[in-house]
Amino acid sequence: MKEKQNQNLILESNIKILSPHILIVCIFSVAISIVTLFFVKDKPTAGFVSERVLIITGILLYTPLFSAEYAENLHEVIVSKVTKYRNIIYTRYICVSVVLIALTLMFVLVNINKITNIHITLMNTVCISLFLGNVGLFFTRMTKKTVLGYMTSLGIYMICMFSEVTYNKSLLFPPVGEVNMNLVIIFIIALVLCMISLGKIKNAVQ
Amino acid sequence: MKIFSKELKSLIFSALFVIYVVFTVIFFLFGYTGRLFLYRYELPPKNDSEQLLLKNMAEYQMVLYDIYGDFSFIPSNDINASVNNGYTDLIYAYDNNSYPAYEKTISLSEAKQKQMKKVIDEIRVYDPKKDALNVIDFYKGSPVIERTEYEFALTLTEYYALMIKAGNIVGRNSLFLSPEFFYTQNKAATYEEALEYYNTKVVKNLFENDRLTNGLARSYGTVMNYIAVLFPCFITMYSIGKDKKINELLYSKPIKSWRFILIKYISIIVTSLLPFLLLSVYAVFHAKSFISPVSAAIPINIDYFAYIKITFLWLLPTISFVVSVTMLISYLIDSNAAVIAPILFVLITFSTPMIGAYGLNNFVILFNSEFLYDLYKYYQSSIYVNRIFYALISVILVLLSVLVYNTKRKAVRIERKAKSKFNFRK
Repeated sequence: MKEKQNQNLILESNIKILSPHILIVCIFSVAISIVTLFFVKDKPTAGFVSERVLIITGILLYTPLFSAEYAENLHEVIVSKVTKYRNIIYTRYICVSVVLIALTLMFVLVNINKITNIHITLMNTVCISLFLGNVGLFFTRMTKKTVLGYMTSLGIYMICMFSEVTYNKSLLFPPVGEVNMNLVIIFIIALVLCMISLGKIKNAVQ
Repeated sequence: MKIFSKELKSLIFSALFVIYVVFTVIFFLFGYTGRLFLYRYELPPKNDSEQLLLKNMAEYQMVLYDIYGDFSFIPSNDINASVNNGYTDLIYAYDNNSYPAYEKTISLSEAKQKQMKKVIDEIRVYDPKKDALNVIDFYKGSPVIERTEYEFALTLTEYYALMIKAGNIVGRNSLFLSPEFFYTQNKAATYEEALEYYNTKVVKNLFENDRLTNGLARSYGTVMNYIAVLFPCFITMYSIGKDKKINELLYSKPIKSWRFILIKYISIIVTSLLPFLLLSVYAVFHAKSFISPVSAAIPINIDYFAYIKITFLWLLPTISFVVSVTMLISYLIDSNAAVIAPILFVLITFSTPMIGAYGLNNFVILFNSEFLYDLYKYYQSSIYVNRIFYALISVILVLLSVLVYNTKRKAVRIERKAKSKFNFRK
């Protein structure tokens, strides 16, 4: 009984910690979905919006996972200390993953008539978001500065987008509406970065 | 001065600055030097004998490209024919509300169609009832239109500018944004014509008028603008974020709010500009060595300050603007959520056309061609107005940041006074 209460407390306090970021991401995703619904008329553009713009939500969701501790936001952190720090971070990771998938699904469902291949769009969007988010998370963990996590993941996003604009071929991202080897590569990189970032978390503020 | 040097040191000797420099260098190599190809600046080599052996036009065109490179197809001398070519395609797209873009077509809203009509009428007043187009054939999905010989009173530069204006209405991927390549009557060149075109396009425009580096610096400025809209925002967030832990202490210091914010602002700007300035110096030497095989035959009077000029005229106002916006947001919301500012800046920059968008709604200046000297001169005044506008906006935003910071400081002082009063009575 007490354990269940503790778990609820962890979930509640961590959702509180993440709520400003989740709120921003929700506003961002809803705005993009509405703009696409009313202003985008052709199918390739709708796919582009999902696989090149919506993916930023990954950066916004995963990068600040450790920020509460690094910014010494003590009140909420102390509430969370009833259990292991590792479990707290895992809870947050699962929470933001659920939010990411939910928001991507929302975008796809709102614009269902404009997306050519729903499975591919969903897969590409989630994988690229996961990749960018985990890059941010990794650099945040390594440098203990959330700003550097944001900076690196957005920098990589920018290089990939720039290469697409100037060379008509993205360095890392798979082409819009297509599945190729790049998708597998970035998914593996995302997993490796996730394991490094979430591995060896001690039960104390680092 | 002491606080300034301290602040500057704390920014420069940080992991953030290292990551910033790494990304700037990657962009420089990947986006600027990686896209410079010597054959575009070299004299087309003479090789007449191969032409005589050719049997058909397709083969002839391919060999011409091998021989003259970029100069194998040149714009026709008949300006009227070129304008007619682009104008007919534009009104066809307007009539069908289907505008050509890279790998797709784009439909416009009614309001944008009205804007497009205005641009069309600037080239030549168009009446859909009288001037109905006749589609005579479809070739691989593209219509072949019977072209009426209209009369135009435009120069080629004015025509390019109007087509770019039309392209800007359609969006970043519009083919109208590259009238030089898609909407100019081109013809296969003989050696003499290729040479003449080379003398105008490269020797006169780039080597003489732009002194090489001024043209290349525009491409450099375009690429570096992408860095300038993103990373200075993070430097700002980092600089403000590191003060959070000592804010209480800072508020009680005798330094005035405006002075404190100004020092912070200038140190962020200096830190942001530093990699660009260093690369500006390197870029001149790079350009000089890169062009040396050509400059051995054609003397080029290189402008050594071209990159520095672009850094200060194009990049500095952009950096000032993004830094001041992020600063204001950071002081207002006091959290990492200010990251939304650089994200929006990046998305806006990627939706800005690579050429021709210099209105006051565009905070970045992109001009992605070193050859179009005439077109650059055409836009120059708009670019200067844009830069001055954003420099002024930055000043206003910094003043607002001072106001916000001062209000916060006062609030903390009042709170502290109230507390001490309470303690005294107790």
